[in-house]
Amino acid sequence: MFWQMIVSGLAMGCIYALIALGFVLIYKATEIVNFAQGDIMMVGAFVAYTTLILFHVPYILAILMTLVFMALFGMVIERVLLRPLIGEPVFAMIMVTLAVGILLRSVAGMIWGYETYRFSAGMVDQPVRFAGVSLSSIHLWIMGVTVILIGALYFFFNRTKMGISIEATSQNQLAAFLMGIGVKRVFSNIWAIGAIVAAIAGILLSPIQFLNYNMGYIGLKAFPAAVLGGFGSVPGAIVGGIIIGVSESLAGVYLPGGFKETTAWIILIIVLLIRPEGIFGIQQQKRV
Amino acid sequence: MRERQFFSVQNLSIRFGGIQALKDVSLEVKPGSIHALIGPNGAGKTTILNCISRVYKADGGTVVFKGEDVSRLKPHQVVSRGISRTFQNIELFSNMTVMDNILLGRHSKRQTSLLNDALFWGKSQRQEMQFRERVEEIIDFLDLQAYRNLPISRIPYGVQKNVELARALAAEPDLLLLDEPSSGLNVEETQDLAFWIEDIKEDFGITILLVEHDMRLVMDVCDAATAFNYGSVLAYGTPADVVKDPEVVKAYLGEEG
Repeated sequence: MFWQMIVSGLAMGCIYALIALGFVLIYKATEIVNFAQGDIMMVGAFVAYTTLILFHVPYILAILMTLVFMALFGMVIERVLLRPLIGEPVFAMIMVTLAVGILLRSVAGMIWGYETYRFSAGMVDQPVRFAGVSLSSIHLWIMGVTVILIGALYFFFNRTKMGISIEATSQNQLAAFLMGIGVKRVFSNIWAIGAIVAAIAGILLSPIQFLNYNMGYIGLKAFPAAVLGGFGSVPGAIVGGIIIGVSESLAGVYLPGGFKETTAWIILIIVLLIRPEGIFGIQQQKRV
Repeated sequence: MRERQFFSVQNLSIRFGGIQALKDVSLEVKPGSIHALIGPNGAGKTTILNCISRVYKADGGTVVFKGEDVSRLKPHQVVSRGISRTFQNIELFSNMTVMDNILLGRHSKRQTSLLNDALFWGKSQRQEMQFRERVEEIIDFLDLQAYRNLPISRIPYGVQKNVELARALAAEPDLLLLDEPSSGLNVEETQDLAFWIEDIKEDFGITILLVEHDMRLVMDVCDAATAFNYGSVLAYGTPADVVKDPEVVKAYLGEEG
């Protein structure tokens, strides 16, 4: 029982980690906290559902189409709604992301309706016995895909020219310009990556929850995960997500009813009280 | 027939609100020279560098570099034309190491594909080795060996200025813009800087345009100087002539009573 709870917590934690990763990537490069991340995830899940189930596109192709569509979707949000606000207070842009979230939820309701769908996203749920513990194959899928995705992102950010451009832009925009980095293209690309990561999170989440226009609320729980890890830290987002996922799962079993839903927020408050910069947070030091 | 100009600024003007920061500024930098921009605070010297590197958009005028008008480029295109610069208040990537900062100076020269880079294979590997070799040469040249793997936030101010210079050199520019390279440096560091600036000209063949307040440094290393006040050119000539110019003396010391 304990190990099953740990594994299902890990799987949920991976989802939180992916959404938190989306928060962190966009925040690092553009200083915008994207509160629409959860709703972008919902759109990604619905697009996958539409291509796979409604249009019967073959599996791999459907996933690829979803990811390409979501990349463009992220770029359009950045280009149309956020780029005109460059130079305005960051607060204004954060308000825009909140509005985008609400808008996406209502438009998704209009397109796909308000009922709840079952969507296995091509993953088969069967028990897998491992070292005397019975685990769900879906949970293993989620963890596997997350690990591969994080590995791919690691190589992208540390090795490739665009990855290094994004890292440089997040540290010093003015200097990035002088190194020949087109900062606007960096912003566009980071929104594309953010939306792709969100879509993958949505596809992985659908089989263990339900597909619903309102599923983006889970993005709110990824927020404490990002804060716990240290907002702006990529490893922090992953560790934070996993800690939240596992504690939530354990709280559901060992603590009285109601604690499961509030665990993330209790952790958030404790973190803010004792270590506001988070686990991997870098304390900002300004030279005076 | 006039010979083709290496670098010139013609009738550059820019206004910030009610302040005319630059008014019809024209100057020419000869290839292979060290050219100083001098003048009292607020004269518009840094503004000229910012207009050249496109951090500011000038209201009027042109900047011609090797026969091309570079005053309409986007800020990130300037470095690929062969112009790199440093800032008065250091603009480095403060969470990266010295090495990574200097490597970023060569960023615009990276030419490998995404997949190639991610796998770090073939061409990417050769390119990285080339880049690092070149960076090591610059590290040796500017005495940065001891700091190679330290993050910027943990090295002293004077060294940070050298890292910024190293990063600008890594781009292999033809024209190097230095904004008050000696500010914040002690006497010894300033002497090192003077040698380096001369070596950059002699050994690397890079033309330098610098803004500088330290008149001793200007007199020692510069071939030409342009003096400014209130956004206009007061005098141009060798540093020794410019400091004797009555208009320049007036701008610095005020009118004789």
